[in-house]
Amino acid sequence: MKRATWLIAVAIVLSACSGGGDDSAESVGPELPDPGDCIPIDMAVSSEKIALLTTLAEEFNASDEAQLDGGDCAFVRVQSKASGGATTLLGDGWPENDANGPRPVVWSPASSAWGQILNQRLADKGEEPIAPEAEPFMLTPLVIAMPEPMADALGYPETPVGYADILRLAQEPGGWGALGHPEWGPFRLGKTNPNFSTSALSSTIAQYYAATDKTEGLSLEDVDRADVREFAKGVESAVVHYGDITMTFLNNWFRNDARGTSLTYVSAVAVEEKSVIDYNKGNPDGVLSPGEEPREPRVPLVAIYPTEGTLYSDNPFIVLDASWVTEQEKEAARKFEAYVKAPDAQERVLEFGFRPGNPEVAIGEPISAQWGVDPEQPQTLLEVPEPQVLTGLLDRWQEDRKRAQVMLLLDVSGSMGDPGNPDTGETKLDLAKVAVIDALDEFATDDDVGLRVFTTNMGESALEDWQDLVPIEPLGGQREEMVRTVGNLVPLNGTPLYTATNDAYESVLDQFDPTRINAVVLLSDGRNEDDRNSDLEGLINNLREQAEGENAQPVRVFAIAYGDDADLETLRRIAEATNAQVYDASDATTISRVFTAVVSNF
Amino acid sequence: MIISEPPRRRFMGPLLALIAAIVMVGASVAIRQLVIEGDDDDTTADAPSSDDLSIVCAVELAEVCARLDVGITLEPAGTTAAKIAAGDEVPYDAWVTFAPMTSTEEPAGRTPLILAARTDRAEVLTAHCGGTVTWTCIGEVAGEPWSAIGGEETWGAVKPAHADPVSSGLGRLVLGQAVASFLGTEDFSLIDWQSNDAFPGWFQQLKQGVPASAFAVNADPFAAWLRQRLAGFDVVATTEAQAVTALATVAPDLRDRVTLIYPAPVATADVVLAPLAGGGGALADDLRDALEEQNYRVDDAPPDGAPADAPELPATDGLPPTGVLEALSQLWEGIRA
Repeated sequence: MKRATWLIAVAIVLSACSGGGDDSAESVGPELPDPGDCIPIDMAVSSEKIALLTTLAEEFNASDEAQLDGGDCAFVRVQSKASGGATTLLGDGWPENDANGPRPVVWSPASSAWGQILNQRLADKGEEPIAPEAEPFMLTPLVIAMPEPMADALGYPETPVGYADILRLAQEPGGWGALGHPEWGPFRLGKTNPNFSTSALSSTIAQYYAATDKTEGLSLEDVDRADVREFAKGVESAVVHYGDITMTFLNNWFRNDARGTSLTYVSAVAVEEKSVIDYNKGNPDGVLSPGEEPREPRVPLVAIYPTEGTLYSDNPFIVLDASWVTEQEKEAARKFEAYVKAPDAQERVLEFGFRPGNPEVAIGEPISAQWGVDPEQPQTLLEVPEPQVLTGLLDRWQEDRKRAQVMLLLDVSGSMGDPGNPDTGETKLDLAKVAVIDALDEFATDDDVGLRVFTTNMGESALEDWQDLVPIEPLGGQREEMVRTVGNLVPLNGTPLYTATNDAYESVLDQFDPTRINAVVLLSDGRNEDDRNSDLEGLINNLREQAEGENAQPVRVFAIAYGDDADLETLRRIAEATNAQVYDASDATTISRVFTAVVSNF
Repeated sequence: MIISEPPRRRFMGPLLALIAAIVMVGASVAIRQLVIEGDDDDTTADAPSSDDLSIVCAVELAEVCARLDVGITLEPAGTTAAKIAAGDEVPYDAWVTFAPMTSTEEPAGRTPLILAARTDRAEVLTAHCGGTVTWTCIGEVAGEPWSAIGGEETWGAVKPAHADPVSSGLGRLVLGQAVASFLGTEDFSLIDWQSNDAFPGWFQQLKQGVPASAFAVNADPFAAWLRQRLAGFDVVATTEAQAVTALATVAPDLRDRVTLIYPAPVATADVVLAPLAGGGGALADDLRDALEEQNYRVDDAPPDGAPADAPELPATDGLPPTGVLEALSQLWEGIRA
């Protein structure tokens, strides 16, 4: 594949995922280039650096540096894999299939912490580690991104700001009113799911450090202290929703900025410094789609470097000690490592908003105040905890995270009976059932979860558009009922998409719980087929009006465009009107993975 | 400054310390004997040419050894020393390491043990330490807030760093220098620190003030510090040679923010070529050349790029003997456990 085609393919994939970012959810990779007669060196990288590494790999492949002893040549192929997802795949021996791509020789997650987690998980299974210690080749620190007026209101940078301040703001009954800005409403924190996202993993580590007043040596005993758990719960209580990628927040922020509502959407988001630069340059997801022109936001973001310290996303270059990696592949990988660490390549690293790992290259633009970041920061680094503490910390987070109130709104129109997987003969509904049931494991037992299905002419009167099959109540008490009910679903009639969406939204809004993430998960495989209600603009306006303003009670509609015929664009508008995200499952066989990503928002 | 007294049981008791010292001396003798035997073999008329040689090299000296035209195996000096002491096979012709690990050879080159610090921190630290930075002073402030000694609140805690004394040859030398500073003499032994009531508190504060990331296996805290643009640590122990070599190539904006400090009293890392299995002598000249290229002092003159006030080398390395360094590293590890 030619370079331009390759980059466009990458951009399209990332765009469909609503963003790149380290934390980009899944990375269905584009077709990998043909290595010809050279030895393919497959490299899995976190998605925020896919464009950079792809460019560097192409340049390396065409250079003399790719020549190996004995007349062979190396051909580096880069695929994008979210760090958390790659950790899971490697822990499972990286099953090779179309979705996972080839087993990597080199792995570069966003943070070396993922390598520790991988090795710990392998050790827990009695297996040898496969991720040796590795040097970083570029860096970007975790920061708290905040709109400039809000940072000003906090007195930053003259007044240091840290997680303790975040907690104080989150627990302030008057929200921003306590700082003279009631029009901004309550303090709202955007934070992703640490099981998926590096920035979330880093910010969760930082939270626990802040709670213990330590900068190193975080232990399981620390994490289990009652006061520490309360601190963590306090911070989590301000979260608007989680998710797999920070780009959901940044893209929504950017859209709100265009409408002048960015200050009431979310107050702060834990992201990498690079993302602040991208946002302020008018490219919030860091990837310019074809035809997309960067446009600077009206309200820029400021990178706050937490006073308690922060962590670097250190982008290690890990040559795997896995059984499928040969010595020749390792040698070739080392040559590519030397190539990306050389000053020329490191200058490119800087252009992409990362800090070069090679100290021979000076930090310059765009790491500057002009783009909301401070090259003199961070002043204090936090230590990555021991592996067993990291895995324990993820377990505690699962217990301490904000709880959810979610309605699963499933399309059971007739088209759901169409083939979903030609190889197995399973219908789309068959695949969706498995995905829903599997995803239930991702909820906590005290998350409130209900099930509503929609199609035309249903219910006792055969005149209704939807039917509640399982009420929104704690999942623990009704999980078996949920599984049984989902298992019994059958495809029926048409798709009253607009009415079903609006009614579901209103139902959750009616029982809005400010202590929980309130949401609708909408799965639909078709377009609105309802003569009685074809008013899309009315639906969008209603959702948007209720989502905006300092007193808004945010109910998010996370939409899944399922199958080839799904109305992706309409579902995107619905999701974005509620400051949520659309997920593309046009390949029906990916629905389990996509549904899991959706549930990562809770 | 309040220095809390840690529980005595966390340190070696006198009997245990005595046993440990005996073991250390035994290990030192084993190393010495092996080295001497190797040296004898090396004096034979049929000494191999350098092309046929293989050496084991302390990881901190990788750049030096890379300049030698021989087969090279990099290994932490502590690991090599342990193998020799245990009588394990060490199938190399020679060992390039720091002098106290063998204590048998004349050094091929020397370099002062120094501190690299962010310039703003160096100024505050120097003032707090009365104009001269010593390891005694660093140990007293390690882990304390910078704001308590005249620095900025945003700097957090004072974070000195050095390599792991257990696995790293350089780390072991630095610890020896630090304790020599505290005890006021390089000629000390177990009894001296065990009879010093202030020592346990100072030693523990120093240990706990060094971020654990400095101790990762094969970690080079100075290189990591530069990669992280001086974040993570405030004052990093290194050598004049390593610092001058690295700072010659780093970006100017980085170099301009670094100050090199020669803590008093001056101690040195002396590099030796210890013959092991019958070879190595042929490398002596090449090693001196390599060391000079890497900014070690082979004729006592400071290298280009060293500070104008770089001190002259002392007559000796200013460090305690091998067995004492071993015992200190064990003490350090005991606190870690």
